[in-house]
Amino acid sequence: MTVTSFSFFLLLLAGVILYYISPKKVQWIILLCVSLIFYFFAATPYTIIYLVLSTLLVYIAGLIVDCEINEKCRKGTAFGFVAASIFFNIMIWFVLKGTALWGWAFQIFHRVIPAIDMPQFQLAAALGMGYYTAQAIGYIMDVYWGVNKPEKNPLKLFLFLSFFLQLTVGPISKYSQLQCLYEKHMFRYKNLCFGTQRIVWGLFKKLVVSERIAVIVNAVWADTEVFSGIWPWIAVFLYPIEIYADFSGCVDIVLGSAELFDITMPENFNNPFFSRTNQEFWQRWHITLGVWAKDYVYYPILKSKPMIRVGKWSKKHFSKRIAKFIPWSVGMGALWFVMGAWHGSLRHIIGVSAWYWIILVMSELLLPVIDWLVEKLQIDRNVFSWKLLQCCRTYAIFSIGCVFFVSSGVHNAIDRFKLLFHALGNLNVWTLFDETILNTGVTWMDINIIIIGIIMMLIVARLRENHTYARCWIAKQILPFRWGIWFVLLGIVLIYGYYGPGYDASQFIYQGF
Amino acid sequence: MKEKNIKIKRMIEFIVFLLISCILFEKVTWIFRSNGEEAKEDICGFKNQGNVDVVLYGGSNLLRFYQPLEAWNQKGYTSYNYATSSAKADLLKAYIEDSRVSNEAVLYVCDIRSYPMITETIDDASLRNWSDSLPVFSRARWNGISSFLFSRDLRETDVPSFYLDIIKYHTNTNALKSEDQWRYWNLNGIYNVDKGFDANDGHVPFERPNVIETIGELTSQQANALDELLNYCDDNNLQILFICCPYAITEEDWLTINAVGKRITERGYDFVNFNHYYDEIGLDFETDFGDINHVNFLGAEKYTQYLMNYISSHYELPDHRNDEQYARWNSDYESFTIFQNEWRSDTIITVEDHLNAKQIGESLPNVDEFTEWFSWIKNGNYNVIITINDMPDGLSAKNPLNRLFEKYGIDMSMEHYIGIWRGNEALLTSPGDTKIETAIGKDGGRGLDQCIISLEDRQLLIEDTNYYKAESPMQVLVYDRNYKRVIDNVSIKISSDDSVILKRQ
Repeated sequence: MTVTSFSFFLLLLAGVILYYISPKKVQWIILLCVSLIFYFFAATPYTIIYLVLSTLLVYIAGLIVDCEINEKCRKGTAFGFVAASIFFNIMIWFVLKGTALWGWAFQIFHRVIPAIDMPQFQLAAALGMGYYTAQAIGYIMDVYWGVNKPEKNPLKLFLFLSFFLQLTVGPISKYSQLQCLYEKHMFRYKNLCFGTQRIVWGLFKKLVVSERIAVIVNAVWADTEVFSGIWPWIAVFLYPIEIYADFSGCVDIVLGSAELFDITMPENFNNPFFSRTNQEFWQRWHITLGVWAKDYVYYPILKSKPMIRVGKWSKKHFSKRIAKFIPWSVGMGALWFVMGAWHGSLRHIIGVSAWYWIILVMSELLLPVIDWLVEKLQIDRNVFSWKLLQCCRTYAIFSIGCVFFVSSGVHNAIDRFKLLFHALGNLNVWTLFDETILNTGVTWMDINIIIIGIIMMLIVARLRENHTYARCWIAKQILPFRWGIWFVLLGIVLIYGYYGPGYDASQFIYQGF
Repeated sequence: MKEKNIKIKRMIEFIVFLLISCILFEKVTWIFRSNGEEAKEDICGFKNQGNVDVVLYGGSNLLRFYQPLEAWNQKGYTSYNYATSSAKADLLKAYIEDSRVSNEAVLYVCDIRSYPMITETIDDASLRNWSDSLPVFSRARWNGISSFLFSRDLRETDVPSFYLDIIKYHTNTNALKSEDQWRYWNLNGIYNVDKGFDANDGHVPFERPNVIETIGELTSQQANALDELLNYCDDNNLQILFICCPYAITEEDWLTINAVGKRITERGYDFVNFNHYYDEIGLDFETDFGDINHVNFLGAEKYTQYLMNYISSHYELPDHRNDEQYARWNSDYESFTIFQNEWRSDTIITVEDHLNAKQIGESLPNVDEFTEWFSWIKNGNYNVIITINDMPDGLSAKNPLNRLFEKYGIDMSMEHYIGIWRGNEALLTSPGDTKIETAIGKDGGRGLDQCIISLEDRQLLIEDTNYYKAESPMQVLVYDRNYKRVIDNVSIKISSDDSVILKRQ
């Protein structure tokens, strides 16, 4: 069961009806039951034990922290339990989900000492492990810091970690953000409309746009001899749109579904391709992961005693700017390492962590030079063309980083970079206008749909920049206009969506985490 | 008060939106459905026929067998074949339920021939031909789909796509070009002149089956389906006749049909198995079948005559021929007769051609002169199988064997040649190779015969019989694919005086 499947929508419908007809006090129990049913059908059922284990770890640690606050326990015990619960949570994730990381390490050991062999076991990972592990760590740290009280009811905590809508592609929520899970909710017509509209929009992005672009991107990378010259570069620059439409489409379905239950989950995207800098990009792309990494990795490191000492030492020995830069870059290094490692493979550590850390550090270092150049060249920073250029630059940097993302491994990514480099000398642009693209498996109709889809996504993004959400803007329009929009959108999804027999549109790129 | 008004307004708005969405969904689904024009027209067309006295339910065993308009012409009652190809008998109840939404008939006739075909597995067509020919949100449709699917093995089945069939058909964007698809926007405009009859103008001869009286055991699935149908008939007091049409019935089918018949009569309903009445109907198994499951038009004429006589003599049915309300049935019959004449003459031509080929085939083994023999085997009803183990050399230009080489494109520079020809069409040729395998014969519903030729293994196998002539450098086997038999098998040799010798021993 995935969030685009018929069975999911059937479960959702049943869940929503049951949710609102049940007494308000037990609404959260309905959510828990629906989550368990979803888990049973969407994942390997026995793997729920990991989820239960994670919940128990942070639950017990939370109670002990509470005990310390009430001064019934010895100081230090709480810290030990918090650290242990975080450690064990990370270890469970690392063993089951980070196979690529420790598998790689084992390969190196094996080369040095052949006696050391890769352990062979087949254990399925839990669904949404990356997401709920992050939430569990966030929860216990917040409890430890006193940001929120520990949850006394283990089932409520279990719901926080296992809430079915976030298990597929997040978002990674803080405990304080999901307090609404336990509140009493009244049925509201607006929630029904807005939630459904967001689901339809998500389906459009995933099934109509992303799946079609995927056909081109996959075909190009599958046969770079046929699709040589400019085509690998086309694949590079199309992939960000594919992954965006896929990931944000699924998040739209998730957030829209949550809205049906009158539950507001944190946003994960905010028009990332309108970003003018890389830092801004990561404030708009996979927002909840970025916020999580900042709150639980970056700030704790910056506030740690060794880092404060480094800051003080830097202030004495370097200029003010460099003194700030040194702890910042160390903190960012750690943040990006965690962001990359969270994806669970070496290629992600290189493609996300190393690539972005280098880019951000370089941007920071070169900032005065660029400022100086802009001033000398008398460039008006407020003109559209300058902003567009900045957006394109950010997009290009992300696209190149994505080569690691779309590759099967580090070697494969390096091979692709070599290919891209060689292709620069043979960019036969003419092949864009002959019928080469049809060999990828798409038709002219598909290409038209992709173009129309991207234009629609741009319009919606623009509306969001100016009116918070496109559907808020649409809701203010006259009835025939707004109904017309929703009928057309429904029709497009119904007819041009990649679903049903013969299609496997079920896998979301970010579902693997 | 104001808040209450807003709530009511919102509710109305929501309901209207939902209704329009459902209507549009339904319309879009109709455009994309591609389960066959015949089924859609037959099922949708039923609703617009006016009052129908006799409704017949079943599968293609009705569509190809019974001509409602002939019954109208001769007996004056209105009847309609509410049937779709490949229908399974456990859908009969759903068929009756759906037809009764728009029409209460005097007599309901159920052909139970498809009871032996009820299996655990899901054959898409058996359900979709019917379910995808009905309005998406029709109650009878959803009931029918549910009862059909949930009595079977649902593994590997995309269940939602049966209820909401747009899931299956939405990729069929080519349908948008077809005017036929668009006409289903207005279901009231769908009118079926043929009343659910569709002729088979082919011909496949069969041997007349023997009558078996043994009563077999019904599977639980068959028994449940039958009980459900009979209970429904009880509950609704339907005047119903159960029949089984005549066909090349197998021994297994006999056992099931007999068991079904027994159960029906035990419950007090009429049952006629027309496989007991071949002579009375006048059915000739050599000429009256289009394939194993269906009569051709000649057979349909005989069966229709017998069935309508049976119905009119056993049940009281009104005669509407002079009723002005039924004037359209008269004009429909006039149009129908044009088609009848065409179907009749086409079928006769086909049957005569096959009989003629059969006759030639019987004489062929008596022909020893190569040129005459060669002119006979070129008949389009025969398959010609040629194996050359040792290519002749030094063939003079005048030698008549050149004609055979030319016709079948045999390259004399090759060492070996194997070829299977259907009339002028090469089924499979393999110059220079030594082994091929393909299907031959004509699919009359029993599958195609297999032919395996292997020069290395010294085999020319048709089914299990080896026709290979070991001593022969060149062999030609002639096969009548209508009658599924080898009619001649010769070795060809060239004598010292350059003449061609056909050898059959």
